[in-house]
Amino acid sequence: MVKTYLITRPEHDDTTHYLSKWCEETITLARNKGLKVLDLHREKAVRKEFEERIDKLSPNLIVLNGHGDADKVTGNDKEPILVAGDNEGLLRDKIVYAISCSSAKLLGPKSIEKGTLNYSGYDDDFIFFYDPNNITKPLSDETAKLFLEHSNLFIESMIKGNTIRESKQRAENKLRENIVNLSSSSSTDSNLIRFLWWDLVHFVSHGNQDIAI
Amino acid sequence: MSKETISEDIKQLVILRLETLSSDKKISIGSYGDFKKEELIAHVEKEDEIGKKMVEVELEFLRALKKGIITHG
Repeated sequence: MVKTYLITRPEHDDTTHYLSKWCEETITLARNKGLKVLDLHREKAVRKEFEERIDKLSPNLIVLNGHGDADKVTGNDKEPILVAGDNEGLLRDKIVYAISCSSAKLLGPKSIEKGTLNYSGYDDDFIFFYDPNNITKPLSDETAKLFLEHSNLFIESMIKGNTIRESKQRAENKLRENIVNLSSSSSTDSNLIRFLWWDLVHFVSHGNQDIAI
Repeated sequence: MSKETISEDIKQLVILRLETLSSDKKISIGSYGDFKKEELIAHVEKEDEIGKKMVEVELEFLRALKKGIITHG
């Protein structure tokens, strides 16, 4: 049976623009691996589309890019698309990863109570640095790469069929590797180690970690 | 953290550490938005929510450094 990967990619500000562009390679990989991809890009990253696609196609893996807080994740123009105590039941039997601030603090655990298999994300603000000179070519931004490549590794590892535990370990190892490399580097980015550490500490996973899509 | 005031020593420490960041880069802090170094420092001086978040990041890192777990897990 063909597996389905749903991804939301709003692009209404610098943050969502970077997250969206960085996730493109996960879409390519998913297609190459034979997954059906539901790409809710820009104005499609709204609650109505999100709910309809999940209802109709029941994706195995859901990746949410966007802003958020402890009880919600937003889509295009900061429209809440997933809200604790409202529609988190949609995630039942799904594996979810939110690249969004704080949603793994409350929304993640609430969704597990409603039957989500696994919800990974950040239980506090997700922080990254970028070089505004690269705004038109985010994938060439070596500073942003320090903060975003672990996230792609996590998704790509899940797409390849590894368990969430294995995938998370790989992602954490990448963040740790970046910290170690910067600690012996003369690059001005070595001052960013404390922010990489922050993201590493707050990258969490709720639910069953010994499953794969 | 949100209702507490920041001690002057910690505030100055965090500002000194933020001053080492490159002025050419910006930081994205989710829903708070995107900031330049100088803006971050102003938020710490004002002790607002963003300033307190910077203090939290710094203190969490210093605590981990003290425990020796940054590069050794």
